Amino acid sequence: MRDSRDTLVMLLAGGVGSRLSILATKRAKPAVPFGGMYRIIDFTLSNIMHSYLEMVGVLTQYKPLSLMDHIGNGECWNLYGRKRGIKILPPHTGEADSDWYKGTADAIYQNIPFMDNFKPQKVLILSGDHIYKMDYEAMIHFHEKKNAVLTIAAMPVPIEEAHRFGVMVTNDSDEIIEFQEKVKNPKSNLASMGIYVFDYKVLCEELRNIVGTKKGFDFGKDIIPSMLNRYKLVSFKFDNYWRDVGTIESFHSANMDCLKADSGLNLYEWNICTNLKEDGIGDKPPSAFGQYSRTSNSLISRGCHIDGEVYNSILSPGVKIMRGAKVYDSVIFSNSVIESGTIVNKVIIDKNVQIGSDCMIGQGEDIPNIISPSHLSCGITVIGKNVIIPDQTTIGKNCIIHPDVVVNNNISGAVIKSGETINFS
Amino acid sequence: MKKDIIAMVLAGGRVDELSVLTLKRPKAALPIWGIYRIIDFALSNLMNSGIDIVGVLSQYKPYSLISHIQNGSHWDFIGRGREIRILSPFKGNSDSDWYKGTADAIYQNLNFIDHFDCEDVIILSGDHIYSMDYRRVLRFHRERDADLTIVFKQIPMSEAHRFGIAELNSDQQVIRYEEKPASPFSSYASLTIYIFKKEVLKRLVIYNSQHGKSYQIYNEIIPYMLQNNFRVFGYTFDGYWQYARTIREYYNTNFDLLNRDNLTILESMNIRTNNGFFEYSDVPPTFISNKSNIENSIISSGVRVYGNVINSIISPDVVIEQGVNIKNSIIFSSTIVKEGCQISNCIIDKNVIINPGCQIGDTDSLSEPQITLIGKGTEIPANTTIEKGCIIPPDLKKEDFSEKIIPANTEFMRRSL
Repeated sequence: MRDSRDTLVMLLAGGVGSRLSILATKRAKPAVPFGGMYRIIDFTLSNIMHSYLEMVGVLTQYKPLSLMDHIGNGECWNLYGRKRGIKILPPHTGEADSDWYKGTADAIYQNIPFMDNFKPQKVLILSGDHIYKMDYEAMIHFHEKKNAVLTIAAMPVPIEEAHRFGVMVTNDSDEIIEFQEKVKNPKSNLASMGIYVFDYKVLCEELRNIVGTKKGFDFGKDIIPSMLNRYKLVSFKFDNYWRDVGTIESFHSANMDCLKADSGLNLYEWNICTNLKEDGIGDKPPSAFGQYSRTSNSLISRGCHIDGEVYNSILSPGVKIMRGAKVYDSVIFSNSVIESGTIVNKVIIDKNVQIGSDCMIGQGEDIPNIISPSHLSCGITVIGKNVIIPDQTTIGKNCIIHPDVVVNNNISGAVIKSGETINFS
Repeated sequence: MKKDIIAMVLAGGRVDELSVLTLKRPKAALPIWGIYRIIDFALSNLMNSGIDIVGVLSQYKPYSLISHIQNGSHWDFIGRGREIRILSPFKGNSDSDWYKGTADAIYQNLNFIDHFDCEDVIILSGDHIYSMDYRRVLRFHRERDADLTIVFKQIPMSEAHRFGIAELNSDQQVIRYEEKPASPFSSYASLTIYIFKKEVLKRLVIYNSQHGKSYQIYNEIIPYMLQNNFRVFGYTFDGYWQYARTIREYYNTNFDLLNRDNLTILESMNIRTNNGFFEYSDVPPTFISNKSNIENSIISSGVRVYGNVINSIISPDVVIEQGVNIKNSIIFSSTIVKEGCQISNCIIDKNVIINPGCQIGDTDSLSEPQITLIGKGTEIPANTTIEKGCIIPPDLKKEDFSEKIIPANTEFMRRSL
């Protein structure tokens, strides 16, 4: 029998991606498109599939609709069958009145009845918002071999980044002897990836003792430290491509990694599965490249029309680049249209955006976004879903155009300076 | 089960003229326009016309068709009261019951038809490329209380000898019909789309099963109906329709999609395919390298282009390596064209490997170039020259090529074929 058979997966997919700005205002972060035709959560779901795991609970909380549509009945990841399944677990009212999930551990605690149905030996806890390829079966096997109660996947990070993570100190046999959650001067650069294999019985006990008595609600802050000297905790080392795409900059750069042969992120080898039924992606015709088109180092999804020029960019299905338009270093989501003569430079464009002709988008001084400089200062401009931009508009760098905004309706030649944010007035 | 109308799709035929392309599949399963199979057009038309009970009559190597159709979910044929069924020949009363013709195929499946309490049956061919609202044809059929309505299209007289040709009166009643007449008397060509009253169809195919010779609808049923004063009408269609019955027609039809107006039409036609679930479901987006030049081409998902592609149609999962030039060619899925190959005016079937330095096809660039065919699964050794108009069979291994140069118009078919 496979080591993974008796393991239940709990996938935390509820995150508010506030640092992903307007890309995540209409959808949960795991549902944000990535790599042209995928969603961020596809990477985790595909890992689950390739690790032969069969039963998954998905914990949702924030704007779950597009996530639920995307997951469907789970057949795209082979999670549909007599003993295979994927269940969406939204927060529900319990004994107390309002039981929104208060933290990662609380979300799992509130779903103990769900987990009990399956009588698992082990529970694999994952989050749905990272880009990586990992064999969870190998991790489960390692957990068994080490006879551990909790195994935490860990990867080395630059020491100056380590304060953003939970870090652990381990001995020669990979046992965790210290764990620090997001501290100023971490003792180690071995960061927790938020991927846990728990012995099911101990997990439930700990959740009841800590979350059940409202002493704490979080794995990194509360559960792991309390288990530290009482149980065998081990770390499972991972040293391949792994990105938290939680900021505009990291989201853009991870997308660009899809185009670099040596980045470690290779969509052509990873065999990532997605749901093509959604949005009719699977029914789109192949892409058309016009007589005068030029495409260089780019990923083009199905149903695109390329009549202009596309350099170092990633296009989702159904994007149209008209003749004479030029797109550089950009990520464009489904069904957006760039009219002729427009130049787009280092821009993330959400779905169904229409950009008129002879516009300059992403041109100008590199001034950080005025409202949220900490989130947007890397020169990337972000244009929200359904935005309409009239002809001859100029938009600078680090700008945010909120979803559904119609920029200066009927006025062509508008100028939006670098760092500006346009919302409904 | 009560149903308005049910459909029978004839998808069994091989079509010899398509040579190696239909050695391993019926014509209905032949890939076209990158991601489609020819039968997608009939199935999508049925879906778009709201006809949801479909029998597919298949006979010649049906595996690729069966795996393409699967449970029919891509055309919305699953659910309560909706289904698509592959109706292969089966052993009946007599010993060998291969379908002897289209009328016989219907006769042998009368129990499928009888399962549904319907007034009419639409019979159509699964090997043509077009978009049609069959509901309009049905309305026409019922308004005239027709026993049979045949869909016709006006075609050039020079082509008429290849089709069933009819003469219609001013009420659009068929007054004369002849199959492939040597000297055509009209330009109304049958598109082999028929709506029969179910009871009439049953009577006719039962009668034909006892008295027929060719057991073909066009040869025997239609003439019989005209002789015996059945009400036979002609609905005329003037939209895009392609026969794609010869290599040249098939080749040209593929390139119709390079015309942007046609592509826009295709996008509005709502053609569905099963590109779907197994092989090509999750191929990544097309990757175009920084050394590539692509002009006027259609490229499917999962294709990696490191060379140049001009005026060509590329199916999913193809790899085109550096220094390759592909011109005026059609390449089916999962084929690999290695470094430095020059490919012109070719149709290359799926899973072909072309090793580095090959030169294949007509490079003279005449207005009407000769087409070169490479069969499914063949591997061509490095530095081979295959001149124009050659036909290379499927499944050849490198060792099967004894010469470095294969002269123009060679049709070497392996003995085992």
